[in-house]
Amino acid sequence: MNTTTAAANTQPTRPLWRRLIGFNLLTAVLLGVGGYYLGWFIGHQIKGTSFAYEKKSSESDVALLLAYFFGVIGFLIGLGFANYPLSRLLGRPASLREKESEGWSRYFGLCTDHKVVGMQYLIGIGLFFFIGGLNAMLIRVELLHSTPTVVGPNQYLSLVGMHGTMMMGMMTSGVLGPFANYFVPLMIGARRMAFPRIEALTFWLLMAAGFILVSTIFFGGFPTGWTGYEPLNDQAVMGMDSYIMFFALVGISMTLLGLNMMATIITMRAPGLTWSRLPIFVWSVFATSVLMVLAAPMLVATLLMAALDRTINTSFFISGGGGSSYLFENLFWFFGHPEVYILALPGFGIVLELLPVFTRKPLWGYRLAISGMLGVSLLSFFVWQHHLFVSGINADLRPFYMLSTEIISIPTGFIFLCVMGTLWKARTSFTVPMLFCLAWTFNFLIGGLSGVFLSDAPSDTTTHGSFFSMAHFHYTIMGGLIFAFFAAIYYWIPKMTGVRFNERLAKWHFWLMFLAFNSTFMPLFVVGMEGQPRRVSEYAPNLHGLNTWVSISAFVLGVSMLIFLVNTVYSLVFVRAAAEQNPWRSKSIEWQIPHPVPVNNFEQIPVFDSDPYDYGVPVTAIGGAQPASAGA
Amino acid sequence: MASESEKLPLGRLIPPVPAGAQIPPEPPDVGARALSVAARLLAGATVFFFLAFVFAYFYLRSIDQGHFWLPSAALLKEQKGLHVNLKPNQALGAVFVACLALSVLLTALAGRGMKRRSRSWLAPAIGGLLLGIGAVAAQCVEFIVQKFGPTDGAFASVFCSWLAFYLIAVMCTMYWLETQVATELRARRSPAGAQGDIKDPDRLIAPSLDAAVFYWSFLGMIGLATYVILYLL
Amino acid sequence: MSSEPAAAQGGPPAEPNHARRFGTIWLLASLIATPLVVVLLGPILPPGKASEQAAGQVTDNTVLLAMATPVLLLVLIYLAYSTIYFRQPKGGVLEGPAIRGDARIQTTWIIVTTALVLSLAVYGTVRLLGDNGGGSGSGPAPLTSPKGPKLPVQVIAQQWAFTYRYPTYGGVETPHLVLPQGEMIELHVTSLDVIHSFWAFQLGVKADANPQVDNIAFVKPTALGSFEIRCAELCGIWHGEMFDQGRVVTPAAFETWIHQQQATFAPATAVLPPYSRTYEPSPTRRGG
Repeated sequence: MNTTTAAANTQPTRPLWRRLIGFNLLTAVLLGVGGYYLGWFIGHQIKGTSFAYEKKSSESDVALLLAYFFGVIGFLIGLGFANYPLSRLLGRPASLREKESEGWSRYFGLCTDHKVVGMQYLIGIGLFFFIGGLNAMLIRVELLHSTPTVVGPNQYLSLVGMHGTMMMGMMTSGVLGPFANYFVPLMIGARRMAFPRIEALTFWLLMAAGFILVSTIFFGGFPTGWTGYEPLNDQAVMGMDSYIMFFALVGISMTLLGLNMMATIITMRAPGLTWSRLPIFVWSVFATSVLMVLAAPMLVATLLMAALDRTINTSFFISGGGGSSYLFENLFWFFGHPEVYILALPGFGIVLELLPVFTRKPLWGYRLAISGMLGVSLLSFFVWQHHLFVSGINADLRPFYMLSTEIISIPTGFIFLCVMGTLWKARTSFTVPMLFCLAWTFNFLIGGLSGVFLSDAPSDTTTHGSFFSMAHFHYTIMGGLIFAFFAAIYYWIPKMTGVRFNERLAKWHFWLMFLAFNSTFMPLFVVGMEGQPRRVSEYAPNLHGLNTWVSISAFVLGVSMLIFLVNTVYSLVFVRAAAEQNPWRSKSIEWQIPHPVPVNNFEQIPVFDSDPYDYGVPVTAIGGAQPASAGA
Repeated sequence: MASESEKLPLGRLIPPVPAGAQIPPEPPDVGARALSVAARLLAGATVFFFLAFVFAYFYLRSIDQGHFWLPSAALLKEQKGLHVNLKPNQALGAVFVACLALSVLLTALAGRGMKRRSRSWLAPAIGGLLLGIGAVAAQCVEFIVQKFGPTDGAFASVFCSWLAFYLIAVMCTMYWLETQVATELRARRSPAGAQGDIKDPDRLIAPSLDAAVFYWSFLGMIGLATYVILYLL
Repeated sequence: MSSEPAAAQGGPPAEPNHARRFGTIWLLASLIATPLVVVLLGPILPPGKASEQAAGQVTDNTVLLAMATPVLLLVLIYLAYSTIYFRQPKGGVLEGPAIRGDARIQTTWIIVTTALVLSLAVYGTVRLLGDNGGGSGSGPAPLTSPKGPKLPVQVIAQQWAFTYRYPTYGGVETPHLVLPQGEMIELHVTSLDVIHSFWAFQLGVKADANPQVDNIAFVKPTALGSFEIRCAELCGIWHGEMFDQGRVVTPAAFETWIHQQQATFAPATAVLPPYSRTYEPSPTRRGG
């Protein structure tokens, strides 16, 4: 219980049963379940010639989609999200804050404090990340043998699909959710996000979505993997609707999150904080948000089309009715490629933000890094057909997409140059966050170089749809984003909680994770090149040895995650050793604020006069050395 | 192991705002700028949402898979034993787009009136609101009256779903406009709030209406494009 | 990047020229590693030399590997070098030099990386078009197709098996794929239900099978023997079981085989729909 602030809280404590009635998580769950059954009932009442076949079988996509829809509506109403729109409908004045004065229970409901939303995101995404990781462990158990042994084919494909979909859906908000929400207002000298209630909404939409995806196991799972290709999508059993609903909600959450971030960064910067003084992490959030706002709505539209095809028998993607499977591939990847850059860009931002702190040098090539990130953002809309080189779509345009894909590696290379420049003649301390940043560099390098192979259409002919492309995107997304994610956790948890991690366990986590990760995914390049397609539980016997090695490495990777969990529980719950206010001696503004961060972030809005990279001794020398002020 | 005195109390993460705490007022232009930026971002997101349908329209029309873009009566009869007309009702479509256009004009008028601080902005705003709802009603009538449904080929699929989602977007925008009207009506009945605080209803109506007018104009243009592509082409 | 200033007379020793040192190490490593990679790895790179297209892919992979090796070494050696030499002494709180950038290095980097990737794009385009798609599915109307006689073979994918039709041999449909050595094959890949992908690994062929689409790929098998066929696009629960062994035989053996197939499957050929580039099975809405 929150003892120190209870005294400051002048509200008399109501009895528990009184406090349970109201707009909170319990009500949300109850209304969600109620809404679910309401939708289910309505879905079964809808009559029409198109639904005749559905009534004959026990499958009813309409009922399930309506059930999910009303369930989510009920859930949000129960949390209290409908109160403000209704009060505005009646003309009551606009307001900003909700439930920021309650105690620990505000973490379990709608709270507009961006710091609370950040913590909620961290726990919520962490939970689903571990569920997705568990799915991955089960996949690798199955792949220990070259024939299906442990699970049936439907369960295997559902595992594969759930793992991929959960990770892609959750980790797009993996950095922006926890860390951007918590720290962007602090870094720009603001007291709040631009639209705090919408911020809370993005979190709860994501939680509802995650729950819906997990529920697919009750409806038969889905056989399409995370890409949801039609017409298999149309053919699939009811579990496919869980996928559709999940991704639609994720898409809405992403759009709103990106919108909020951009509005905040554009309008709420403190005096003196010009664009050229913005921390690079904030720039990366900005570049990511551009993609979120523009690409995610396309996903929502595509999935709505897929849902219509499944329920009322429209013909978007069914060639027998005038549709085309190519349409889905094009629409999906038009979103899908910016999506992977939504995953990669925050990783860039975190690494470039942390490196100056641990190398005690300013960020090298600040403007180059920004142009790299914005260049990646812009170009990511022009490369999507490199996922479709062998599909027969627009085969004549392949040279264009090869060119655009090659060109996008130029701004990506800028990031590497900035990393290397910041490491030059540095005074590096190898703290755990720094280790994760260095690992990021190694992993993303391998991931990026393997991408060069995939972007070459003749070479892609063999590697498309194989474990080579699987290894490529795991190196860039997991080796890139997830390692940066952990760097951010180890770096910022002392600020967010005031508690420090156990150093030894942290180092064990890092080394085991880094070595096991590479041991897992490096052989997969070979496995893919040797002819193993993705998403199969039966593979050629000659690849059995490699697959066994990979599976065992994957289990060790899982163990490293357990070490992290143990460290979290041990350090944050049991030991609770207080961290210094600024253990990393960072010059960034969020570290100059004491812990706990005051309720309104700053006593007075700060005035900025430089970027936060004021490290290092000025270099004055003869013979061509650069003075400190030589910007880039 | 930290000694007991160094241990942080469990749960001392972020202190809640004490009840009755004074939140420092912020200048209203912060909220105003945020609304303005948000309206533009939302417009961008909306464009990309409908871009998927535009792409579907032109792509499916160009491939005319199995002649099922606009299947002939014979083809449909063979499939379902029905004779349908795949042309949308042009008269109702015209009513729909006319209501849209008039609504946008009236709302823009209201926006201009608000900027000039003239009290008479309310009437055109209400007019725009009603016409927007009228446009939705017109299109709904058209859906009932038209002789085809979403299962009748690719054009029918795109037509019905694109317009359906467009109508949802229109209703959401009408809700947004309604909140401005309602806030103004309520504010006129009670004294104004504290000066310069975000809670001050008078202060936030102007930028909010401005943002809503911008977004509605944008959506109106999308509606015009929708009409041209679906009804006229 | 420049070196620290030379020490004054009798002062502490000058810091080594890191740039020169690192550059030398990297150059040496690249000069040794790149030829080694090309010579040792090149010949054993997948997918092998069983067809012209596969051999072309091996060449492409070798070139890409040769270009990637110095880049890989640059960053890896740099990471190692900086980890060894640019450290904070234990417990120290020293600061590094406040260098914010170097216009020359940035410009050089931009120019070199741009040149590198553009040349790769050009190379890829030349190889793709020059090799008539390089074994990849090139859609219903490929931009370039090889001159000379071509044997058309249709690959029909369905849940969950591939069958093969030979239109120039009476449209006979066979459950296994046999191809004649040394002849240019024009594969027409299509699907009856969902998206599949025909992947003949050793032949270096991969073409997606879409319903109502004729996806054409060209391949000229050069080696006798069998090759693996797998489905490379998730198509439902038995996607992993959708594999087969194809064979490349001499032209004479192929003729014998195909005539034998025509005889065996004559009753089936009689009732099958005539050969066409795509098929529309009924009912159209739900396959499988």
